[in-house]
Amino acid sequence: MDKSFEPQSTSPALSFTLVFVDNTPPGHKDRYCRTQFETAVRQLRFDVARVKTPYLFRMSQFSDALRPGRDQVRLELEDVQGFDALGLACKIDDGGLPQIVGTPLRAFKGDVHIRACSKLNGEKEPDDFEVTRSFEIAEESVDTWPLWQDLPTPTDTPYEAPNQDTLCKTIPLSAPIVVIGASQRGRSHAHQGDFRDDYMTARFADSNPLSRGDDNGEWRYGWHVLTVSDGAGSATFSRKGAQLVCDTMADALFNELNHSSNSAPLTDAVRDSFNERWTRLQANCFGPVDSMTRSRLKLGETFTRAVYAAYMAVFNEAATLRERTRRHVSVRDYNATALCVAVKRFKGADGWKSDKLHRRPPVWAILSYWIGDGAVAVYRPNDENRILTLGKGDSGEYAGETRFITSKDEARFDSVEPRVNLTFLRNFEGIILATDGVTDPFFPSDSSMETFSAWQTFWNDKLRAGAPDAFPSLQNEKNGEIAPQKRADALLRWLMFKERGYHDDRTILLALNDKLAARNRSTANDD
Amino acid sequence: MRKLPVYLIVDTSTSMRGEPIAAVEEGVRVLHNSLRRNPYALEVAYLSVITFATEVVQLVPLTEVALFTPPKLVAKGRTNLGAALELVTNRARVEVQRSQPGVKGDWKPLVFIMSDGRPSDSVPQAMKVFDQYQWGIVVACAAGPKGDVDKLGRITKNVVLLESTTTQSISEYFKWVSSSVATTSRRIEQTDADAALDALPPPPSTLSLVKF
Repeated sequence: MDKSFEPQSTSPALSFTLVFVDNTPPGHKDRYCRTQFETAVRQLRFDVARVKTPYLFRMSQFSDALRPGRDQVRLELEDVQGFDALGLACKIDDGGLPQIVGTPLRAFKGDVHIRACSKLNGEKEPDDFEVTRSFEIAEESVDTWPLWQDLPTPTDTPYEAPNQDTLCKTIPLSAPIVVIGASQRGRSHAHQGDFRDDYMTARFADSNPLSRGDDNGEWRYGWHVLTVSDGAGSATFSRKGAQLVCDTMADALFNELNHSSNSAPLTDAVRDSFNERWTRLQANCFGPVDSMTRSRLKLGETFTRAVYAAYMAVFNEAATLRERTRRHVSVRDYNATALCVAVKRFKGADGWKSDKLHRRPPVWAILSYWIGDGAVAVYRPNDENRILTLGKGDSGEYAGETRFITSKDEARFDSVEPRVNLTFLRNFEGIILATDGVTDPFFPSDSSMETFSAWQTFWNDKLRAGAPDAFPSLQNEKNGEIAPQKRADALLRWLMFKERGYHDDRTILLALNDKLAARNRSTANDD
Repeated sequence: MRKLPVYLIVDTSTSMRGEPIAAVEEGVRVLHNSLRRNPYALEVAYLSVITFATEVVQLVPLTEVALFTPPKLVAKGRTNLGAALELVTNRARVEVQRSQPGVKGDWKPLVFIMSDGRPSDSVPQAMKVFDQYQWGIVVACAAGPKGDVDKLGRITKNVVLLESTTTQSISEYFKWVSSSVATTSRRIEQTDADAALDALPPPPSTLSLVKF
């Protein structure tokens, strides 16, 4: 056992003498019964105490021997030694029972020597005996750090997965965004030599210039797609499931949104629904937006096809492996969650239509699909301090319960459509996709994920404070821009944070609007 | 922090007197010692010991591993397993946190039942209460030749048979329980009863799985 685990015992051994005093007149039926007292002494076991935590141990097993209500029978303590040095007292309480009470000052592990004797009508009986019991004061918090092992993953399995991964990309738009991501095998996986079951990927439109020219610039920038998946710990090949889900969803959405015959009508529908919403807003005219319904229908269909593609990819993979290994392999062995975001900037419509009503500012359209735990959110502190959670988590009544994209029913339009979210934002500081390995330690519940203050703490006090080099800052700006890869590496280092009880795989993928972030920093400094 | 509750339910009827009860006592100590060396168990696992004889007692309430004290066991009385099932359900309702708005739930509790004989009270009656609760994995161990496999099979599909109640085989059982606790915390996601035992490490050779 590691040395740091053995509490040091430097104080002399603890001891006390317990005297059973019985003044019942000779011949009385309830007169001193040695066995009850002795049994109670022999059964004595002390609860473990903890440093700085109030401790009370009542030796209630003596209550039978004491014959409640009879004041001729009582217990006395003598020669109490060693307890006060630990911040404890050993005394008889108001109910006549011996107790150890107090708030321990330091850790201790050792023995308590207990001497038991009895006095009958003032005469000491020749029946002394001794027992030794162990007593422990645990450290305030147990340092489990030295106990964690970092074991290599097995090599004789169908699927490999690296223990960590990073991703980075600068997207040069008029409002540039930087995408950085990091994924780290969890300590609980490393301790057992298990694989990292998380996966993330992204498809960027600028590396695939879009053919359709448009003088409004609407089409100059396509949709960027970000996906993150968390393979179920209970599924044998979930690392492969997560990879297939991410890659298939990303490819399917990227093609559907940018290249397929659907992409033009779809993007038109999205733009139209924003235009209509904007126009109505300008005219102070509220009510359902017709084109929104149309674009939602199209989006529902698009995402359903992508989810179905992901399901089929897993289904085929399971079939292939089953064929090859002649073992029982099912889709369930690949269970994984899915977090998807597609983002596109629509150029402002200055002069797009001559009448003022149709003029609208540039806008970000953010599409998302979210099944399982983790989170997809947009952080925008300058926009009325609101967090936009793009969907709802699927955590169950107990820990570890969630939903997976790999369930057959999840590939139906009716299941997919409600999970699809379309949002228009003038600006944002960051889009966040994170697995539950990252969100669980910081958000006490699903409902806290919808409060801005919880996100603000997460963003500023945990993420930015923990990985300053992943973000632009005044300091960094003076020193010139940090290379995206360095920023992703900083994020990866941050993912090793220590949080008691939380050691799952951790993955976070961020789309950052650096200009806005820097501006927010400087305003914060002005305050 | 979301804890992983582990309930050990131990038969302390008269038939356990002597070597078996001493072996169980030692087994709980071994279990505790090995969990103390496992960082994950130290952080998340919480142990409780419930004994059943004529009286059913929760000797140790759900306690984190670092503060757990292996209890002294005394074998005496009938085998009131049904009452133990009711008690563990009532305790779990109090000690285990379910997800609520604003609070995330604990892991579903693991339950390890050990009995060396035929229950004296009504198990079916108690099952009406026990079944209402969503347990993680429930394992029943029929210890020794008189262990009532059929009755235990009505509690859970996961029944293991311990051929004898010698110190050796009981200690093997508790070692298996400890490795189960250490590995399950993240494997019991989405458990359904059939898959449950597959989620645990394979039992040692002295333990045989009972097929129903």
